[in-house]
Amino acid sequence: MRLSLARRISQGFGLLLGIFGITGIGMTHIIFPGLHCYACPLAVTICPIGLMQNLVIYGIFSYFWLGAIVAYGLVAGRGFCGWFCPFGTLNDLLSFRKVRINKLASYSKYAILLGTILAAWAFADTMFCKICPAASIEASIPYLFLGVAHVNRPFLIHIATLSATLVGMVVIARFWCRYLCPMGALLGLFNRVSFLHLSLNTDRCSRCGLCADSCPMGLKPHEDYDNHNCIKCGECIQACSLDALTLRFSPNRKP
Amino acid sequence: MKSHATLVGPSFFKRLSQWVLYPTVVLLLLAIGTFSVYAQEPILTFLVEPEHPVIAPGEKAVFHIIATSNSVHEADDVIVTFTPVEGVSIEPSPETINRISPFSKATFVVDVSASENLPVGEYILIAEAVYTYCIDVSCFQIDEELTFSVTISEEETMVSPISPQVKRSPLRWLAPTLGALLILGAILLWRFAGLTLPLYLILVLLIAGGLTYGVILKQHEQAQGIAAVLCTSCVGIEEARHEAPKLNLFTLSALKNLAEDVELIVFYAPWCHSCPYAEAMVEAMAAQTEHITYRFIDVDEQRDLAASHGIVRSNRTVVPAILRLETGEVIFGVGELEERLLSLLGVEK
Repeated sequence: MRLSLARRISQGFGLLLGIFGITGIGMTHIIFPGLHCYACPLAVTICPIGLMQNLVIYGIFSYFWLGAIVAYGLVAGRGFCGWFCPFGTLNDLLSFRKVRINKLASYSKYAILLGTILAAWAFADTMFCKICPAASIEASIPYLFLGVAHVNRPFLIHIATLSATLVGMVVIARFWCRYLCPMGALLGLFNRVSFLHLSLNTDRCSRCGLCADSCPMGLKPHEDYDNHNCIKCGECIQACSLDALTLRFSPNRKP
Repeated sequence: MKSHATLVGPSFFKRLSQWVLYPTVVLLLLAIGTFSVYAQEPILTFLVEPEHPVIAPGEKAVFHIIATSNSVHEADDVIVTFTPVEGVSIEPSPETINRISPFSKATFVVDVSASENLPVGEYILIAEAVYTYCIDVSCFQIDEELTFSVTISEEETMVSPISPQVKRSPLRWLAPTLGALLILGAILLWRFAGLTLPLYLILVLLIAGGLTYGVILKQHEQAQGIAAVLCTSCVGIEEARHEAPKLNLFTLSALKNLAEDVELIVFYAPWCHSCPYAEAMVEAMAAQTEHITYRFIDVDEQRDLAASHGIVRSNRTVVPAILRLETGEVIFGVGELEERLLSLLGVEK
């Protein structure tokens, strides 16, 4: 099976899990391995960033949250961004301009992650959720139609952040995933130890740069295949005519 | 042949990631550790009034211990007990305060009497304040030691509040610090000695231990509980309100003229930021007329009733929700609550 087809199917499963509440089963104990608002009327899984903020607010050290995040990180790291996260899928759909990543700016998502934690602690509120574009799509807009939300200042803030993010995605492929996503930052911490990883056979590589042109994250896999921003989507693997790049699932990360 | 990656050499950004990314991991772990230290934080503060109780030998005095809630959670079974001091009789009343609501106060009245032959001087009184609070299925018992002084003298009592000193165990820092150091060690071994095994062992231990211990502590249910409740202000569907509600003149007059009996139920959740405002608004309105009766119900305690009125749908709860029992109408959230509540009561503007 072609890698891109496998990825689309996997992203489809991510989307399906995201709206599985349509079956009426309600909220489960599963922490979602991506950015997916638990306030969504159809959500059956828990947003790790939303939960993290609540844990900070209430001063609870959750071993359950920690175990789940480390598990996702160790299994695939940011692979979940490329293969599963519904908001990542939306980024994918709008990936028209695969421009080079600004490496320095890509660290801003770690600042956002720390800021999310600090803001939850300082204001005793889930401040990130109030501007989260995933929550705009999955909670604000659906609840407007369900009669729970109204067009008020918080709603307009949501629409503004969503609009800005959508424009960003159109102008820069995977804009949200590159620079802003706190969940991407959390998974990115494990990207260089995760079992799912990109591997480069340097004997085969001609350094043509086709892989770099295909990368939605704007990376250069032929120079740095083990980057903390890599979402392991496999676009570079398909672009490489010399089969120099492969996606592997192993704790042994030697090429 | 050397790999291209090594031919390029460690770029500025690679070095940056080494010196920024991995310290970030450690910072995050320390942050998590710090929050764990602050876990089970006291939600009550205690003040003693007067500041320096002064009692003459053979006399009695009364002072107050005021427990103030700084939290959205309810404190339950608050007990203050004193370590006996020879020659001083101390009797707090009541023995137990069953419930201190979020952001409210409760007072223990303490009778102190000194025996006639008690030498003049300053006496340190040690009290132990014990109470519990719950967040969903996780309940915490808080045990604080309070110390303050009583002077045995002929002088008059000085009146001003004092915060007793609270002692906390330094051991609270030990476990998270050790954990963070272990992980830091494993990361250093991986980055600078190329040893991956210790890091993988620690990560696998974190996964297995974290998930198992988390489930034993029922943290999975706690997480589900948090996610299953749509707190309207939390995700930015509306703004949280913490001020005391003030009714406008139209509302006051409309409530005075209310003719029919109305029964309201306010459904709340312990961690809902806007629920205390919704409760206070209903209380304020009910205080203006005898036609309104109301109840506050923790939505988890009457899920069937909540479900039958659409407050719980597919195991998801929306709070705050105010139900008018006679009509079955429900309003959610606190945005323009005064106007919407009047409309729920059948008052037209």
